Amino acid sequence: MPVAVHQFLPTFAEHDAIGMHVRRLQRLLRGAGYASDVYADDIHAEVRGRALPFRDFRPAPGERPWVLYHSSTGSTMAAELAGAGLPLVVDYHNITLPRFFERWEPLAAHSMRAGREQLRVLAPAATFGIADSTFNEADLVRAGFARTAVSPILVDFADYDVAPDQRALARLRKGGGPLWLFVGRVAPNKCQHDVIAAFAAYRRLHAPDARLRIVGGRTSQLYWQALEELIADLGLGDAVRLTDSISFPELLAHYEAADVFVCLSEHEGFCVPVLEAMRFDVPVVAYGASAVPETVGDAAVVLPGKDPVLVAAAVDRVLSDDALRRSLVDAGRARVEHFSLEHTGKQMLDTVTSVVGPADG
Amino acid sequence: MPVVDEIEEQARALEASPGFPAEEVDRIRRAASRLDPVDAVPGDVTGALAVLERRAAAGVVLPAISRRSPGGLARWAVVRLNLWAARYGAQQLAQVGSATVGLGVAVRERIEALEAEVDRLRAEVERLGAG
Repeated sequence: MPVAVHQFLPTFAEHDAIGMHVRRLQRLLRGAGYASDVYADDIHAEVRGRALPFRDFRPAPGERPWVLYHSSTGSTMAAELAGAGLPLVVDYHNITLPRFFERWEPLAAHSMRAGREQLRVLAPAATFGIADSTFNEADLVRAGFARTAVSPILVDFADYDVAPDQRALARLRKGGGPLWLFVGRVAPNKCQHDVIAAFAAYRRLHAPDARLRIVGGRTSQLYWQALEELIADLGLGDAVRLTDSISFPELLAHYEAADVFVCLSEHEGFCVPVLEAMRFDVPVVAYGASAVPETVGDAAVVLPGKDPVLVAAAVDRVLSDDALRRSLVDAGRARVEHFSLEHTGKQMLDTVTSVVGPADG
Repeated sequence: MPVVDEIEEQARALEASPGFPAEEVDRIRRAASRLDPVDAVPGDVTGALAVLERRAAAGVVLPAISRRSPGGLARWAVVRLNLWAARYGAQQLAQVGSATVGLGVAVRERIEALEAEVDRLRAEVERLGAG
């Protein structure tokens, strides 16, 4: 009997890292002979037609269906799939700890707590748990998953081989000193406020004409407002820009123009943007928390703390020490190759195949 | 990574050097630390009140930003604005409600802890009185 591996996720969006991971995995599964459809509760307009409503899921006659659930937030879908009586694999992309959102977005914090509770409900029903990183795998083990493996999120770096927005690039390159960059949703766990503080210290101590661009849409409006207040309070209005969501070519322009990528996030299940920076030969300075150290490997300056003076000193060293910068860029290229779709796709497909068996049953 | 040790040493040396703007740097540290995450401690009424205070300041300006063309944006806005504004208002109301519940839970936990302490002290007084 042919085997199907259908994927389920609460929200399916085009440029979302998990949405892209799901589409790439679907291509891999179909290429390997498995039937594979995508089901979601919330299907964004731009990907309508690429996914089916969760409520419409019915296993096709004559197929042996597996459910592959992508867990990244609380969802009513989780309990329903756990009780559906179908063989289940959970692909866990991390659920942020509620403590980061408690003071900013109590409802979001509630959803995160629910999501983490749901992992415990999913654990006894799941045959297997897949995690993007060993950091995420530890969450699965704590939740009670008996069998787990690490297989990184699927990123196709060929997607970045397109021209950046030339106007944005010219604007970013015009005048000014060293350009700091951070990319990621504006969310309290990503600690953009620490990046701003380190940048303020860097301007004061090393380069008064430095600039900072913080790229990413708003996950917490209140945190966003607090960042704006912090920027004004520190007198950085002319040097720091919160870009909000930008187009993909504009994002590429930011990577092209950046001198250094600074990530002081405290909670990441994987952290794709550090690899994106490496793809563009931008040296990375990062705080060594959660999954970030295992993602960057030896290709970044990984700091044990994020005091503004320490981070500023690290950036100054990276930008003034050519040999260090070159070694980080070279190691970054190797890191990007390590996480290339060619490698991670095979790893993911091997992992799924080892659980669900061959496509022809 | 040995370079990290060197960077830490450089940072320490810089901070110890004459002319280091200690006051300015401390001000930067203090300003940023106000945005640090806070751990929810059972019975933390002050923390719960701080959350409620922030949430209660409901914004009237919608967080609107778009890459759409002006014409497309106008058309889209006319169709969506009412629904969006209503949902935004409802979300803020729900956030305030959730923060109020958080405060209530903290107050209850605090009261329960105090009651347990009173019970313990009462038993201790009785024990001493009996002795």
